[in-house]
Amino acid sequence: MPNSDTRTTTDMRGLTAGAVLVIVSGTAAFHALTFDADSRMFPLTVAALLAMTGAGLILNSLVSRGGGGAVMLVRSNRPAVFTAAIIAVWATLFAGGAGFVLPTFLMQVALLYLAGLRRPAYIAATAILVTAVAYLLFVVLLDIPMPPSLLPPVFQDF
Amino acid sequence: MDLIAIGFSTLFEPAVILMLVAGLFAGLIVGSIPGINDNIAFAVFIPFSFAMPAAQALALMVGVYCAAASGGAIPAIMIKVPGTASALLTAVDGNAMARNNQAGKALSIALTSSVIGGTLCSFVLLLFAPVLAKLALLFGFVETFALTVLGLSSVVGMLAGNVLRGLASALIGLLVSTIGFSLTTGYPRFTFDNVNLIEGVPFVPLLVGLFGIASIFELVVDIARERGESGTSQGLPRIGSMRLGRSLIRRLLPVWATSATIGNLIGMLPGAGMLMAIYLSYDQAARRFRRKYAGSPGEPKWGEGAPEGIAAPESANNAVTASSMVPLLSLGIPGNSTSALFIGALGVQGMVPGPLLFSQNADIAWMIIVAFLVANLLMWPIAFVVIKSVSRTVFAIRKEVLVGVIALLCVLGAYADGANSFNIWVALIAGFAAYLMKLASIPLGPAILGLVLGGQMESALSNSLSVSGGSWLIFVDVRNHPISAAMIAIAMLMWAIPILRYLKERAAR
Repeated sequence: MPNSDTRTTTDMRGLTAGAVLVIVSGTAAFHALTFDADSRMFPLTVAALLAMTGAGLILNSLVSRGGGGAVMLVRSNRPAVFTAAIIAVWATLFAGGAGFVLPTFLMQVALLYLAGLRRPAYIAATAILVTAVAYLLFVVLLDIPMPPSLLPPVFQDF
Repeated sequence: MDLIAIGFSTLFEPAVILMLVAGLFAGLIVGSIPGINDNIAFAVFIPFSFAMPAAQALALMVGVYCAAASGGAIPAIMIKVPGTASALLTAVDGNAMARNNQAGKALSIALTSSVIGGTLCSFVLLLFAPVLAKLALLFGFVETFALTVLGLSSVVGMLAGNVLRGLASALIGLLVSTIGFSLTTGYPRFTFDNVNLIEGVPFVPLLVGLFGIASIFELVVDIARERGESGTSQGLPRIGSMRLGRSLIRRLLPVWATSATIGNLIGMLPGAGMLMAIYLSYDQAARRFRRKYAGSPGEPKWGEGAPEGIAAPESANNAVTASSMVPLLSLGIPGNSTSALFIGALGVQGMVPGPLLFSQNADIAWMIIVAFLVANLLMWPIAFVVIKSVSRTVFAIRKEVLVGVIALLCVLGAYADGANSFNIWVALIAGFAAYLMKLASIPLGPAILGLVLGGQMESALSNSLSVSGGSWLIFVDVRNHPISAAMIAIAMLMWAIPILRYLKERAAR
């Protein structure tokens, strides 16, 4: 992925990581100041050390080169973002009362399509099989309680 | 000797040995499912043991306990998703070997290492359990804090020039470990009034996210890249031959011995946990590899398929499963979270671990100890059958299909830990964070160690400082706390040696 172009730029990944660490640890340290004295010592120390490490990463990235351009980084990792979005939609439907079967089937279809499969019959058959096996394993065999369902009474267990 | 004989005769009753074998099969299969960690695998089988006689039930649980730790290596090697937390480092070199058409060899190394580590420590458990339990009693707050410092220092060996990012990772882990009620004061920290965070970030979903969900993101990006380059995606690695050459066995013997010893010693310490043993042994193996093989013709780089990278963690994790029984059976103190579940399994049978167990239920106590030895000896042939049959079938599935399967197992595995939808979000956020850390070249290993050791470190530090009146010198007090002073000295050497080596190399340039 790194090309001749990226080698001449600042290490954007290191710079971004360092900046994120400084912001996160700074926020954590600020929040830790509201704890009582005994409870804040450890998180405050860790947050301060993390902020220093983040600052070190920023300095290090400013003097070093490479790491890849930001546009390239976003483009090549788009499938990961889509996967996260699909799982988030599944979690919302599953926890929101849509039952187990329908959200799971839809998630499988979406992930199979995202992974590059295009034959509708193959996608549908695979999604049905995976959903059925997962249902048997987790709901029937392991008897894991499912979230409350908003489905009609006949479909409550699905 | 009479007691050991009683243990053997109890174990070799047909129904009892059958349960041990069933436990090994079940543990290997369940442990090899990504997202189902050894705690879940163990917890799933406790209800099955309700209706059984004590000997059969506990033989089943010993089988599951030993096998789940080994089974985790199978998906770690094949798809880089550790089936259990104990296989998280196995995934690094193991998957690299598998991608290099050496999946069978990697699986064989993992299996042999597990069997050797577990068997050696079972002998130790058998012969020295009462004596070794006394050693564990020498560990107070001061020694526990020194142990956590030593554990965190063990990451230095595996960072190789990435010390700043490794340190950041360990600190991220320590910071996340402070979420929830303070163990010393009970003050709720970073919970933002969310009841799900009161006891801290749920650990099982966190691990599922950091490893399972993050690996799905890597997998879809890999598939997309392969499709972009060649129009099709590569299949999963083929298992192939599982034979190990004599020279490789000779090469790995010292690694097995060192890792089993580390696993044995750490496993005996109450609360030290399996991960610390794995990291320390991995660190030792990395140092040995760099000293003897790095740069030689035909040798991979560390982390890119070195056999020692599989042998060390796998040998250590099974050593811990046996040795963690020392404080549990002798003192009633669990050595790690899974052995804590063993207390539940004993409780189901109306037994309480500790000195009374050996006087009131000597046959069962010694049967458990003997069962660890026999379970490890039976593991190789049973695991061979599982890999050749079940695993071959599971991993013959197309990579594109596996994306959805792993995703579902991970999110349901996270949800199953307490049947709480909040856990799914924890797994998803943790997975995304782990993926971003990978993009920023921040290693994940030190963060996990920080997470595991954080609570213990803070509580041991707080208690030690209150004992010493705020003086930090208590940790290097050679007269009153020689074990702590020795461990702090070793930890300082672990940091100093790579820094001095770096400065020396820079001066030479």
